[in-house]
Amino acid sequence: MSLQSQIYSISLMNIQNISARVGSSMVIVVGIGGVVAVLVALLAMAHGFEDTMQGTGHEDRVIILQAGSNSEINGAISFEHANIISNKDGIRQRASGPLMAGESYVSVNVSKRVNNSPASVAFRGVSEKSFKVRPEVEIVAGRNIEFGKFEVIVGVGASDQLSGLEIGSTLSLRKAEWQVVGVFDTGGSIYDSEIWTDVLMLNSVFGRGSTFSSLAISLSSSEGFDQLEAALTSDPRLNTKIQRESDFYGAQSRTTNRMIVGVGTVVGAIMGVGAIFSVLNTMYSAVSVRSVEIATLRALGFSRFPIVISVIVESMLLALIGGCLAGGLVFLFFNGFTASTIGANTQVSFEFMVTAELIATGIVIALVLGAVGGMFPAVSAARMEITVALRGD
Amino acid sequence: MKYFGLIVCSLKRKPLRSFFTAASLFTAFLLFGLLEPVVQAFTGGGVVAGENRLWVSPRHSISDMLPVRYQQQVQQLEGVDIAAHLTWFGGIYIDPAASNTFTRWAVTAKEFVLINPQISLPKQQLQAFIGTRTGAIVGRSVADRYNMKIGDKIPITADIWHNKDGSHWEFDLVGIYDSAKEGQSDSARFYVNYDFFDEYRVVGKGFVSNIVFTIDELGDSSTLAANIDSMFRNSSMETRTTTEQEYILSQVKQLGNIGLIVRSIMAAVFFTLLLLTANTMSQAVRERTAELAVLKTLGFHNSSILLIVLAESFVLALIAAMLGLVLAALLLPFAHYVIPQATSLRLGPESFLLGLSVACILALLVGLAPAIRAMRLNIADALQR
Amino acid sequence: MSDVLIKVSDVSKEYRRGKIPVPVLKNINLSVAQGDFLALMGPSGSGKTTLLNLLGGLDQPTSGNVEIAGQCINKLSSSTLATWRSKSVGFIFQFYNLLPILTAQKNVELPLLLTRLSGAQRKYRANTALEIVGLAERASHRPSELSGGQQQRVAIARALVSDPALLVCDEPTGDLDRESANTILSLLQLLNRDYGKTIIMVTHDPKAAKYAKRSLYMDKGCLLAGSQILAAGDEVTS
Repeated sequence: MSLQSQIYSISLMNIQNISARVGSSMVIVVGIGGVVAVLVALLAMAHGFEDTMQGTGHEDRVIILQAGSNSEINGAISFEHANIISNKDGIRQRASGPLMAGESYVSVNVSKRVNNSPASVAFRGVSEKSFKVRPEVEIVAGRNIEFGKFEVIVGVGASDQLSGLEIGSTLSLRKAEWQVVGVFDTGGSIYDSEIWTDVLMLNSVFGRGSTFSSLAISLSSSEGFDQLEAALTSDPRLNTKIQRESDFYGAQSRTTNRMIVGVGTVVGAIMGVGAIFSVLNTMYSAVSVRSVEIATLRALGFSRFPIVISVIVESMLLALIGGCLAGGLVFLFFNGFTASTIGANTQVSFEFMVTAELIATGIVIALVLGAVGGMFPAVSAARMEITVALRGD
Repeated sequence: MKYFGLIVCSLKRKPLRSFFTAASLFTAFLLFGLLEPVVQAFTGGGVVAGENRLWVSPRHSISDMLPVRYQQQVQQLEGVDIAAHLTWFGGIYIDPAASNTFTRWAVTAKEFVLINPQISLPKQQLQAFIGTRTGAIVGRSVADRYNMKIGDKIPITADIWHNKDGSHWEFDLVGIYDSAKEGQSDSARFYVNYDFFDEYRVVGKGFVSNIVFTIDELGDSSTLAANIDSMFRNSSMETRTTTEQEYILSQVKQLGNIGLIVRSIMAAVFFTLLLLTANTMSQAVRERTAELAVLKTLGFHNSSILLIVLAESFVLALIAAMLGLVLAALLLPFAHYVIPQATSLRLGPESFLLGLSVACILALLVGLAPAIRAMRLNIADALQR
Repeated sequence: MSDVLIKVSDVSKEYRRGKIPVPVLKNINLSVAQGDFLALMGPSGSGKTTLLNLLGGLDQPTSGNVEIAGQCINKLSSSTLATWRSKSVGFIFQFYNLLPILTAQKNVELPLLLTRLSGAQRKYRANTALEIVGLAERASHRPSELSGGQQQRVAIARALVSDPALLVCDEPTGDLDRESANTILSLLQLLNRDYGKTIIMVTHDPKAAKYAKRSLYMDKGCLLAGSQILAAGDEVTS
């Protein structure tokens, strides 16, 4: 019999036998499934968090901050300087003028729904141009703010994770009463965790005077970044720095992201080791139970190699089932699950993102664990002395 | 116990199987030992905060600050023992990763020492701190980690507090303190003189981050807190006054339901493990049916058989759990390589006991059914080959 | 001549397969004197092993009494019965039933774990038992290192170590070659003759039965009428 057909027939026999050993086979399925489930869930969390922080990935959007500031919460750019910058090259032009929006950023305490504890939330003052620079902002409930009034709109993530932000309710901040008039959605970016109002109203109540925290700008073209950067550096009046929006938020999320990925990897690795021991245990006993069978096959003329392969195939198959089940369950239960945690200074709400890629990674890991766990018992099965095994222990 | 030989013997029967089962259990408890302190940290469980220490913070936002005169106003209240002000300095030391391992603050030296009785600082070093405007003191764990010695110049790049010359600050290290509070981040701090800091900074002059105060025997924390908050209700900056415990907890809660997520992971791990070891145990007992029957023929009581089988399960679980927990305790000091802020995670005795209890429960759940089956074996049937 | 050790009165035993009762022993009456060496013979399914199990206190009759040394053992609770077994009866099985991880000596010591003897005392007794069966120099060997005959001798030593009055053997030579079988049977004879042990041995080998003092036959759950002393050369139909 050729090698392939030997492998095929033995594997088939083993697989048909699995139903007789449901209990111990389940051990591999559940053990490896568990590892994959935990790993995929944690990585989905990290992925979702990073994805939100990086925003909708607008390559042509930049943020300008005061030089030396690492976040929007520190630093100020005067209205005067903002005006100077608006005339520089590199900014996209429209009939209404350059696409540059001056914004102010403070953090306020609002209670989280999940534990009723006050959390720092981003409160952003926007200009009318902000909606043009960020065309992805869509009002999905209520209406947009009217400028000049104490009105706010709430990001869909913020409204989901925080309490007291329903349309019609009032937010009491710095002795002013702000009315919630609408909910906006940017399709998955950090802005969904924020509360927005008129920048001039915010400035007056929070004592920011005539300064912005940052400028949000839409670039004119692919050379826009370099043009604008050059213009800023060469102007001695200005003391600012420019960054692509995705880089800026990416940097802010890096620590939290690394932590989630780090923890996920460590936990997954330890669980993986534990799972391998479970597989080893199960496969060794599977092999010993079948030692008479295997010896008979050898006596009949099957060679060692197909036997080894068939054992590994069996354990990989069980691992695959476990990995697929785990991937499926995690997708069902966790995909789209929203949570909120602290970003650089303020809360960021995000969704667990169980992508096809992550599930595939999980399945590959399952297969590797199955292969490793099946290898040693497989080799010991093949090494058995035929006569010893035929005597039946 | 003379039966111990029997138990060891049955475990040695299939040494590979006992080893693998023990190894799986070991990894589960290693995970438990590593994650339980994390859960404790994220639910504020491990915090031993001063019951009589309170924090006054700006009510509405972390970007707000309190006028420095609030400290005097709080100090003058009846029931207040010592009031000190603290200002978050922040800044970058070497790089963001290193900066995350300790916090940096501006304080007034005298009040700082009075309000932190757990800190021991040699008298000359305290005098040096008071007397040197650019002086700074640091906790021993930080000093050891970054090889700081007294007399060193410590550079910090400001991220919030620019000074008249830009963003570069330099301090003279004049003291290294030890903290009596074990296992907390108490010694992961760096302090500079407020006077120098306030004079040299460009914005925010005269403003501090928090007021911390202790109460004396006459003081009641909730009344004092309410009084302080109403005292400042109509002034420029409203306050929220809470006990130190609540203050720390509210920071921690911002991280979200990490505790729940971690506990769910642990539950998943142990459930899986339960299945695995239950299967192994019942298999092991099934294989030994004849042997157990022989023991019965020799006169071993049914209850002894039950205990022997259960004991196997317990011995395996407890040894594996012990080893896993010990390894976790040894690894925790290195946790900050994964989570930079986790410089003071420790496996406390309660967590250790919790782990061992879980091991016992696991052993019971896993061993009971096979043990009862073994006990009920009909000798005649079992002896048939 | 000797006192009666075992008195079986009107004993029946049936098993239940679902709702159907399967009778295995029917109205057995038997008397065994102290110092007797009885061979119990019969075809498979005749119930001889079941009767043996009843005599050894491993099982209870459905009706009737099993009286040993004046005690009705069928009336004892399971824990009292266990204690009784440890003191009063020694078992020898066809497949030896030694614990594979323990050495010969530890195997023999096993019944003594139930007593209050110290480790040293247990060791002494075990070695003495091994000497009686002639295996003292193999005390530290595992069963896997011993031949079938040697393993059976270790099993006999184990059966002896608490000095019970009764030895119960189920096909003790069933798995042995002729030479080893004879060794075992001679040993049993010795124990009966010189140490006064009462022995009941189930066997289907007429040559083995010759070593006993008398034989009884069973068929279909009944003891065949009368006791017969087999003359040499008689065959038993199976």
